[in-house]
Amino acid sequence: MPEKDLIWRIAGGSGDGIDSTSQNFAKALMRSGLNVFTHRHYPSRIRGGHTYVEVRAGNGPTNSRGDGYNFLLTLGDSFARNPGEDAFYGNEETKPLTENLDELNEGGVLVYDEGLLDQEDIEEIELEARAEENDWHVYPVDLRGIAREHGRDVMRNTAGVGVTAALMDIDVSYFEELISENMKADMKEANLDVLSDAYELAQEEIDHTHDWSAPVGDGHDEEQVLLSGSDAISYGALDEGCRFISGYPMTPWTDVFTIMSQNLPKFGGISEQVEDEIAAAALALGASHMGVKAMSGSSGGGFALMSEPLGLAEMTETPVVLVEAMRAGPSTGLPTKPEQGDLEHILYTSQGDSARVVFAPANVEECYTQTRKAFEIAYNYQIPAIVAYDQKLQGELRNVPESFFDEEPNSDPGSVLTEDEIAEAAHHASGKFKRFQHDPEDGSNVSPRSVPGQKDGRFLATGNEHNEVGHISEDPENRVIQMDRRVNKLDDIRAELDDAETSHQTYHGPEDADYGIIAWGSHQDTVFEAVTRMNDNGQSVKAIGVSDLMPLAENELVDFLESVEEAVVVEMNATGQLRGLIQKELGRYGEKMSSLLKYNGNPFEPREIVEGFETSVDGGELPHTRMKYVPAAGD
Amino acid sequence: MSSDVRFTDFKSDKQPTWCPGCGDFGTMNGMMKALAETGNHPDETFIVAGIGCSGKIGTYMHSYALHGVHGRALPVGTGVKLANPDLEVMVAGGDGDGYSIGVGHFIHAVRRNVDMSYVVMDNRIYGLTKGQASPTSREDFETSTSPDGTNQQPVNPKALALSAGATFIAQSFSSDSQRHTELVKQAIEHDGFGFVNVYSPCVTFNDVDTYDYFRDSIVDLEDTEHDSSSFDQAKDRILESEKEYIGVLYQDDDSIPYEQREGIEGSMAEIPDGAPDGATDLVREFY
Repeated sequence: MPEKDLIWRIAGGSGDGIDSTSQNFAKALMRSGLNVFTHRHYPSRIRGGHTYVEVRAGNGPTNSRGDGYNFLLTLGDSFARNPGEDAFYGNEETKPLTENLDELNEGGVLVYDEGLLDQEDIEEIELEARAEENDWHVYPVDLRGIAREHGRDVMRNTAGVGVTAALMDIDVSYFEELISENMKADMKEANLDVLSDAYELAQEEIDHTHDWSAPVGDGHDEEQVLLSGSDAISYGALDEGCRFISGYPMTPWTDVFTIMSQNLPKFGGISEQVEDEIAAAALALGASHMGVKAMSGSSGGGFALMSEPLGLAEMTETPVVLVEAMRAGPSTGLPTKPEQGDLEHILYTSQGDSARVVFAPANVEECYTQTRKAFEIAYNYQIPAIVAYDQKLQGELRNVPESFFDEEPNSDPGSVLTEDEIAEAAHHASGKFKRFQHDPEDGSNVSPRSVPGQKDGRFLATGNEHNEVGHISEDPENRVIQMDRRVNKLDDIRAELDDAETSHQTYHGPEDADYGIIAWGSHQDTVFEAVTRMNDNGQSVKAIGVSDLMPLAENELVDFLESVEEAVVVEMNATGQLRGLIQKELGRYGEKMSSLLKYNGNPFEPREIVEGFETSVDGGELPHTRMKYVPAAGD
Repeated sequence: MSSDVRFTDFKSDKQPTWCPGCGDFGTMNGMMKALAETGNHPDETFIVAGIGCSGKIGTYMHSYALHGVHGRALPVGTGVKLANPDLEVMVAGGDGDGYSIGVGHFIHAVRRNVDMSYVVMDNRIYGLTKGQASPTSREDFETSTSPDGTNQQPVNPKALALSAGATFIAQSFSSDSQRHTELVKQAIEHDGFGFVNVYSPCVTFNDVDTYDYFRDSIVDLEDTEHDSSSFDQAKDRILESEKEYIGVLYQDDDSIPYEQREGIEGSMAEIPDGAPDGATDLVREFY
């Protein structure tokens, strides 16, 4: 039997320690020499509610959630059990068990907390019959009882980890190591005792009926670290010299805001929590106007409030980097679920023509490199840049070589003149500096920039159309020159990105494949896994992952689309926004592109991409309603 | 800072497009005089304004300036001042800009107490959009969009400021040039957020709150026993709806500007000891 990845799901109520337990679980397996990836699913509430995290671990690439999962540790929802709170939660204690069963794979292992769920509960949900039908191996363990012996019920999660280690033949010393490193003295001993009691009990007293175990790590060539897209965006910003952030909390953007707020003071930077997102973007714009590299960000609704300051940054050619952490919309939508429904919002929000840069990184590594690039371009070209990611990439963890971050920081403020250069530069007879010079040197569209406080660099920055020194001007000739200069920067940026040594677009599968898949943003690696599998099965397919959305990677998309018979555009939204963008920007290919769309709040599994691709090639219907398939124009 | 700056150095070559007789002329002249007399140089001064007649002030002044989004001048000014505390930052606005669309920012700018001044040209009307009611318009003020009056209490911006923890509140009148200049100077020199509401009449659209009305109603606090260090007296003066006081209503002499508080002071100017080189020094915690 070929070695299969362990896909371990821990389920319970919010507040049951699902996040921290799964993070340590993933870290332990990473240290044991496996590749790991986590997938988080949580409700928009502080306590209770259905929440789970999956940890996938294997020796091959584990860059996506897998197909279903094969080990369920369900803690029950301890908060639903609180009698005082029945009115709020109702009878939900079995939910972390029942709600997860549909995706548990055949042959899977199931551990539930016998201390929390009694026989009556189990009979009610007909677990035995379902287990038989699906060849599940069910192990009831009194996790709460083990935890309680050492003082606190909440350590049930540690007990569950101990049982997992025993059932899956995982070296328990990695878990001991992490508990010893991370927990305070009083909790450390108790947790270590719970871990070993649970491990021994499962080892000695449980009759193991399953015949598989977790893969044993081959080891890594170099030291790995485990982090999320939010960590990587923050570290990219810090390495690119960002020293100012302003924000307002909103899920899932809060992650970057928090990480930056905790780290900026170490670098001498400032973090401000302000009254709303309009102020957040305006403060960042103000700080950037002073030559400080600055950022802000939000999620859909908060980003909508930033429209006006974003437009002001475009009009005044003030560099600033905004992060848009997408969640499912419209309006409040599904606040804790991922979606890619904000693409058009990000590209076009704010009145007038857009002149902004939009990158959508695919994974942790790209979050770091593309955030750096966003700052570099914003400050060199005096243009706002947006890093678009989503709730999926925000929270999922994966291992990356530590040396990946071993990069030179860059504090260069971009296109700001020195006072000597200002003295030499063009001024108006009134003494004002030509901040918005019509014809900057070298045919560039980037006009010279002074920063307030510099001698003789005075100018007016205004949201009105303005002349070379910034004064309001409705002169038609000036209007055209200034508008062209602002929007033509996007062509210059496209040319720079096309000439770069490494493209932001990534490719997977044989170059001469007949069919194509186009993906953008966070599920790109899921698509790539599906493409590997399909080629292994004899299908001829390749994929492109698009990150440059404005200016769009037109040449690469043309090359890709020309090279295939048909392409499926895979997106987590209901209307195929990237497909629309490609058609708009390239002016063709509507008859070549179909859409595979998923917008039910859960990210794609690799097998779903395979199903969608087969539907596009063979015709017919998708096998289920979790996704939507939209044929190409004319089909 | 240079000491030989004259107030005309703050004047741009652009002629204001305000209506002849507009209160904003006097308001702006006082601002320029106050900036020059407090020793500020136009290269080291930043004027931020929003939208409306008041918003154009950055065009008419020859300093660094930003004319931004309606109601959002205060957050831009806050970002500017935090990023460069050495600049003299003056935010200008109108009653619509500051007390209607931007009133949320006003409250938070007051409580944040960043060391900048905020001069509001309060004409109790929307002028540039041709005469609609503003948040400071009187309850029975009839306009094109409120034909039966606003039927709402006018906002009391000084009361809002006091309740939000203001450390400097003054009221001036645009046509009393000397007194107005003096009050703006005090706002500039105040350590913290210096708020000056200026009666700055609109001669075109407001036939109620006119120069004559203000001249007849104004009482200078200097002619009274008012103690501006007393919160209670400030509260009483501010809530007396029948009187139009000018002068410093309230000043907290112990005010510490936000940017001088621990953890913020000097943070932009110097790199702290032991600062990490970058991500490479931080990712270790993820092992």
